[in-house]
Amino acid sequence: MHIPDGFLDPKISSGLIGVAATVLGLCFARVMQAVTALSPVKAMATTAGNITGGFKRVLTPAGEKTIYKMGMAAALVFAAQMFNFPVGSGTSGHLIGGVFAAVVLGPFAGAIVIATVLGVQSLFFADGGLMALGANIINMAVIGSIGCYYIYLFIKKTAPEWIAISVAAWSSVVLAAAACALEISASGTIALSAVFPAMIKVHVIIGIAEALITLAFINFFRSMLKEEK
Amino acid sequence: MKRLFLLAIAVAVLAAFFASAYPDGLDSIAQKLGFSGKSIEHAAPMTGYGMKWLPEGCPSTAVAGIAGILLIFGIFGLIAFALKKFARKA
Repeated sequence: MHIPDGFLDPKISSGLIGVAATVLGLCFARVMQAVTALSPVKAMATTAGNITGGFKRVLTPAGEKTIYKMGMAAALVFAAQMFNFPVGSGTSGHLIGGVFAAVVLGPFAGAIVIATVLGVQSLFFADGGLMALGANIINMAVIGSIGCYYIYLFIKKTAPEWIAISVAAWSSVVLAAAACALEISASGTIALSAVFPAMIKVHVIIGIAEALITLAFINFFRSMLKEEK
Repeated sequence: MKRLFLLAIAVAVLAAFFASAYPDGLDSIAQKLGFSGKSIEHAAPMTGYGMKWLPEGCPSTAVAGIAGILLIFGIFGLIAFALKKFARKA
């Protein structure tokens, strides 16, 4: 559901770009905190010991590995998003990957992963508009990854993890579709009464595929990483 | 790690050859409800997931997919490299 340019009112799309940039900024800050550590800066070496001159932030080995994991997840999501599958009545769907990225990397890194994929798709493949990038990031990276991660956590408290993942993944598609419909109708492109039920109807089905693919990808990703330990 | 890379490449190539050509959820609804004409496609190096110097078709899409994957690795590799090099004062 990559919104192309032309569907959204310029005020709405620029507003959403602002919101998306703010949220991504917060995500960057959180991820930076997680992948770096403070390291004392040696200012002077004396016979009594080193005098530290403050601290600097350095990338930890585990942090570096996390960034490579983010790259792997992003590449996998990008490839999977190319794989449209038919869902009936001449329509196809594809993975969003928000819950997959959030579950294997955490919500903030997950959002960055999805946002990067969306950015590459828009800039290099014209898949999704440039002005619409803010809306697409809100729908798929913020709602689809961060928002639905909390659905996953909530369900995990009382149900097995695979149910939590499935429901969160299904919800990510439906909620993103709902947001998409709201944005397009608020822009005056089409009436809400027409686009909202249509979007929900088709994405309720696509969400089932998202749940299955997400479960498979999470399993594969985790077993790959376990083997490396 | 390398296996995940190969999986991504494999998925992209398989997608190029076997993915459904039907329009996706939003596109098909736009066509059915009649607002698909409003979309504006901007210029991009690999529009529609194809390389411009290859004839349109599955191999071209596969190459585009691989290019996208390498691009994404490049971006994250660059981030890791930049963080390693430019550790800054707390």
